[in-house]
Amino acid sequence: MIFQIILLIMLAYVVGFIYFGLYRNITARIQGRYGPTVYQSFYDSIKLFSKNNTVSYGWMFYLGPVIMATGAVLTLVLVPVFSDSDFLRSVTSQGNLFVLLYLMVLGPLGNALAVGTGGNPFGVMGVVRGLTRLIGLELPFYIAVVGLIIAANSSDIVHIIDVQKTAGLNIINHPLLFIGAMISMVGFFGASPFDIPGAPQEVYSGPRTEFSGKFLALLMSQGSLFAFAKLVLIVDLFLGGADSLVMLVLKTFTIFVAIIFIGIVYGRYKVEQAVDFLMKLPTLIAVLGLARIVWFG
Amino acid sequence: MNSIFLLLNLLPILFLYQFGGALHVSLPLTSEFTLSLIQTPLGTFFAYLSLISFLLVTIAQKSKKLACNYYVLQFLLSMAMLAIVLAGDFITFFIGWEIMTWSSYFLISKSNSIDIKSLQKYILFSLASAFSLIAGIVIAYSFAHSFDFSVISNSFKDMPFNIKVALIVLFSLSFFTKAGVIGLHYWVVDTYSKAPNLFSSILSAVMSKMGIYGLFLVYGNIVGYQELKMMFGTILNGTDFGYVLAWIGVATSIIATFKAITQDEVKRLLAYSSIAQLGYIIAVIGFGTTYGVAGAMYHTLIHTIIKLLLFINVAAIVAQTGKNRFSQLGGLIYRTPVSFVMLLIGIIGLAGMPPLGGFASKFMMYNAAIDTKFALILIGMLFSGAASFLYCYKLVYGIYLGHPTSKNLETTKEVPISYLIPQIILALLLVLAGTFPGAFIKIINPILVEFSLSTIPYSGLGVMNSAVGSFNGFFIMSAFVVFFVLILLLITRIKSKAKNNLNRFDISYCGEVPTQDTSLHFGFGFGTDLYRIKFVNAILKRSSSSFYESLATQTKKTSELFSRMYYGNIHNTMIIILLFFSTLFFIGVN
Repeated sequence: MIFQIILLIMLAYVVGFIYFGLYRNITARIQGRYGPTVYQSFYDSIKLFSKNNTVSYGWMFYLGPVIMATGAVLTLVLVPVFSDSDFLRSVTSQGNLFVLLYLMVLGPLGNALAVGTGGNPFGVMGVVRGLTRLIGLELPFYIAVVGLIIAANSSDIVHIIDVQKTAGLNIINHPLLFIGAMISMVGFFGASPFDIPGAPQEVYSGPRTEFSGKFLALLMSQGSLFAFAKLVLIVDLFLGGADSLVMLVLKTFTIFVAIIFIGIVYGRYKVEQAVDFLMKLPTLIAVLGLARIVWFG
Repeated sequence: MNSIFLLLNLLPILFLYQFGGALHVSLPLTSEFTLSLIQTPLGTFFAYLSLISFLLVTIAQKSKKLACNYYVLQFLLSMAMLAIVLAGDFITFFIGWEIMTWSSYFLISKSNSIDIKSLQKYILFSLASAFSLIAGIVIAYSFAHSFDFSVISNSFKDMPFNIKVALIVLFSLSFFTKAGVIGLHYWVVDTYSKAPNLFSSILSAVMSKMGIYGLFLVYGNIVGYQELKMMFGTILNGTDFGYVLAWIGVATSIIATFKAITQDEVKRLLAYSSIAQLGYIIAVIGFGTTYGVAGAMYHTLIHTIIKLLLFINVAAIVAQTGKNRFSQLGGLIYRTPVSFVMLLIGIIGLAGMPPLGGFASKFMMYNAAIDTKFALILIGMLFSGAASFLYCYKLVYGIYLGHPTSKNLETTKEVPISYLIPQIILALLLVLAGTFPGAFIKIINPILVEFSLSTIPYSGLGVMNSAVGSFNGFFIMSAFVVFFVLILLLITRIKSKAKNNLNRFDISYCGEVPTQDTSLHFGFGFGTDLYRIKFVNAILKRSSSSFYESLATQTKKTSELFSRMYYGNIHNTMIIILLFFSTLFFIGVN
């Protein structure tokens, strides 16, 4: 089990960073730049781990990124990665979808604590914007997840995957829920138009302003692990999971590219615009999908 | 003085433990009225909840030099609550209810910051609650010819339908007022925020739970969940009645959450948060299913722990610094580190994040909603939960993080140990509740049997079972600890020469250097974004006070009209009196 966990973390680390590199590369090409190489994020991460950090603000500043990374790793190991194998099945069966929904916010809490300790008002401004955005952002995703749980009558992810083997993929059976969840995912990945918390060039780099050296490296690494976990979760919920590594990469990459392409063509919403938007159309779409399951399913 | 009352508070706990569920005392007053105390599993649960809360608060009161009469009133209050939860008939229940009302009224009036208007609000709403309760009791008596719970429960089925509805509405209104359902919460926020700081924890954690106990008593024992289902019919997999109640609860929860975020006073935020959390309980209490009851019960327990912890923590900080607003506090983390950690544990529980106890109770409630297929209710609860992260963060940031807003905050010392002991106990309880959520199944199963509902399967201390999935709290907690320690070791192994930042102004600030006068604490900036969101703004700009104020004005005008009749002209008054009595006379003759 321990070996499998290490393997999974390494896989997520590599895949996550390559996807992040691709994200920077593709974005650059669309904007007519050459962009960094795909491996640039790797180099950055390794470089930052070996750099001195400029300042530290005491133990809570130190522990914040650690809490964040713990949340990401815990989320990662609780998401079933492969649909048919016993890979880490004994671990994933200990949790369920609700555990994951709430574990996903444990990491941001660690971040928020560290940012608050750092004492930079711009960082806190970013955190507060992020939390405000979350009010709208979680809504379509929650509706989609609740719909799937009611449809499968179980909050166990493995069971939701198994149901899709006989009844067909959820993306086809419940397309409205998928659309709702994808719009939320765009925000969860910090892509436009919901990228207000980080808001580069606007609030002086947002929550990560005060982090440097190994803290920044840890934040970057956990970000790639977390991104991978979220992609696998979407694949599990809507695309019936993946039975091999090739399928896993293929499916997660498809979702990832879709998110990039949605994000890149939009400008940035203000936080109130984002919440207003998310509460209207995406919520309506997801609620329609949910109503179909509850009343006609 | 404190230690005497500490022992005095310990006694009923030992007494209750000694009886072990077999307490049954009855005191016949006349041939018809009997005062009786019966220990049911439901009552025992609430009795321990309130008695232990009182004990912990009394420990925290050690550092305050309180007068003897304060302790006496507080002890009286705890005994009144014991009478309420152990009562076997409505007379005992009502006596306890009334003693609770006036003893808490005197305790609230002992605060320095209380004003007459808030006190009037409190007593008026308490009286309205009591009147509604006694109206229900009298109607029930006129049909059952007894005040005994079991007799009323047996004869409830034979009552006419409209009487049944009237009874349920009257009792519900009474208990809703105590729990602070939105619309009836007008007294809650002022009272909680202006009461003595440590007493607020009792108000929020224990006294509001008496309303919840009343609801359980009426829906579960007197009416019975089966009867509720038969009376009102079903929708999806739950009852119509539960569905309406659930919407009331969810609306309470959402509105109070947004109101909480925009508060500047710490205790007002906690008061609104208390309303919001009780909204969850009210949302699931009427489902009439095993998991609905279990979820409501579990959240009652967890909310009591959390609110005691948070209110004691805030009381300690207010006592230590003399400030009670987010815009006046800040930057206390390295001055009062233990308090900070306690508050952190409290807000993680409040936000409902694993691996602490707050998650287990929310999980139970969410599963109840899935079990009955009340999907929109569940969405509402999740939505309000997502919004509550904002006030949880405001609580920890506004007090402990960021920059100190005044000079004396930079020299504040850690709060006295008597404040910390109850907090540490409560935080441990919260951690244990998250690690061993299965232990709760053992407490809840006898209560479910009492309500004649099916029980929850028990499979080990760490496992929380429910209708649509289970999780292993012990595993998640240990995995969290293991990963946390490993990552911490990993990161400390990496050498770096960072020095602790001694000067708090040494931050990235757009190339400028902030000074003492620069406003760096973001505490007041929380929630300003919310006013620009249309949906939230619609909630925030409305308030129940306008309704109650116009009601007060109308009442005043009406009474002025009457007073003019009496004091205007002696002849008119005499004619009115004559007319009144002659009307009475004619009615009597006919």
